[in-house]
Amino acid sequence: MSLAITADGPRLSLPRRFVELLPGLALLFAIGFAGKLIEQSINAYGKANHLALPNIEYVLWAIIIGLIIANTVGVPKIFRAGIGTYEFFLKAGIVLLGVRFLLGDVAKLGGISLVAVALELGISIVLMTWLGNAFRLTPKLTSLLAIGSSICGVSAIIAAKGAINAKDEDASYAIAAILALGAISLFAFPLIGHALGLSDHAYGLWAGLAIDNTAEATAAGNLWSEQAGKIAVLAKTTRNATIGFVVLAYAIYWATKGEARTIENKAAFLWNKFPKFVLGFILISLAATLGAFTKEQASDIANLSRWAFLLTFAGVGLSTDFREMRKQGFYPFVVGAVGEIGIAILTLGIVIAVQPWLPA
Amino acid sequence: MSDTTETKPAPAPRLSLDTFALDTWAVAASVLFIALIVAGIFPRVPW
Repeated sequence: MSLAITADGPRLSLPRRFVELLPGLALLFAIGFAGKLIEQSINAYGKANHLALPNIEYVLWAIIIGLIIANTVGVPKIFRAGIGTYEFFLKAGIVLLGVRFLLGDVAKLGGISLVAVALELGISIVLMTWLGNAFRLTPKLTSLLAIGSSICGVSAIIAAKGAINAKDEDASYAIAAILALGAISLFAFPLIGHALGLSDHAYGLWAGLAIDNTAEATAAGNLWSEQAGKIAVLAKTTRNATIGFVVLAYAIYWATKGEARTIENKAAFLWNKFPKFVLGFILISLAATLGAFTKEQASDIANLSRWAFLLTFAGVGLSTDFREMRKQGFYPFVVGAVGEIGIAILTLGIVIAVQPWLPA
Repeated sequence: MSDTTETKPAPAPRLSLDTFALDTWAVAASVLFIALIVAGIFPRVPW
């Protein structure tokens, strides 16, 4: 979550802010780099000793190291501001990843994703609303869980919280549930994908459709392969692009009940909520398609995107605190878990259905 | 759906740097990096 760097407080001068971010940034880099070193050392050891060791990607190591720190000794306060920047690196990484997509691929895969996303949105909203009612959660918490699970986890919940005038506890419930479930799916998805023998494209599309938080969807895709990571990012970005529309629909619904502020200018609202990094991604992809970069430049830009993701994955582990989850209560978690499992199964069905149109 | 319903005022946003600002920063920083790479000012990025 980016709350660490966004929380209220006295506004610090730019150099002070930078100094405050440094320890956390160094920790992100150290953990990400350690993950890469572990991956390379295991591979080198296997090669030297002629052992067939499983290739575990740096992504998983970085997340595991982060999870262990966050859930045992905890993250000391001095690091928190810097760790909060991982969302920035995630978005920058996605924009830079645009260099690896030709616009035609974006249109083709984006088109398939869009159909799949439309189905996923409908299914998630109906399922979560039904579950929330069945477990008698407050209607606004149910709305937040439905928005979080259908679009984009944390950012969608934060965007919706203000728009539908929801309580702080409800937003933290929903955020904690989405984050904990995302962490669990990081481990479960690759196992299920391998058991089913999914292709890179099919697995990537599934991760992008079913995992709610962008960082975790990106990590789950990259855990499988870099190609799957690219597809997961594209599918997830398509979902993110719908954020404004879904939040607007919910805001109008709650406003008609007199429980949220009326939205006067809908176009401005949509633009405000639209994730701008999606535009950056399309812009870079357009430039790459038009041949703006040489091969070396394109590979440098793609490498920069990998470094940005390295910091992101370390941040994902460090920001997932399962103890926080326990404090949040049992029912929202059950609703979240049952809903997410249902969404994972249904989106897997969608992926298998569209598989004939995906590249092998 | 009508937009004229009487409404409660929403609380002032507690987040001073919302996702919108983070987004804009991410795009601006990426474009700057790319400009530096294309101009040959930024050193080659190994992976």
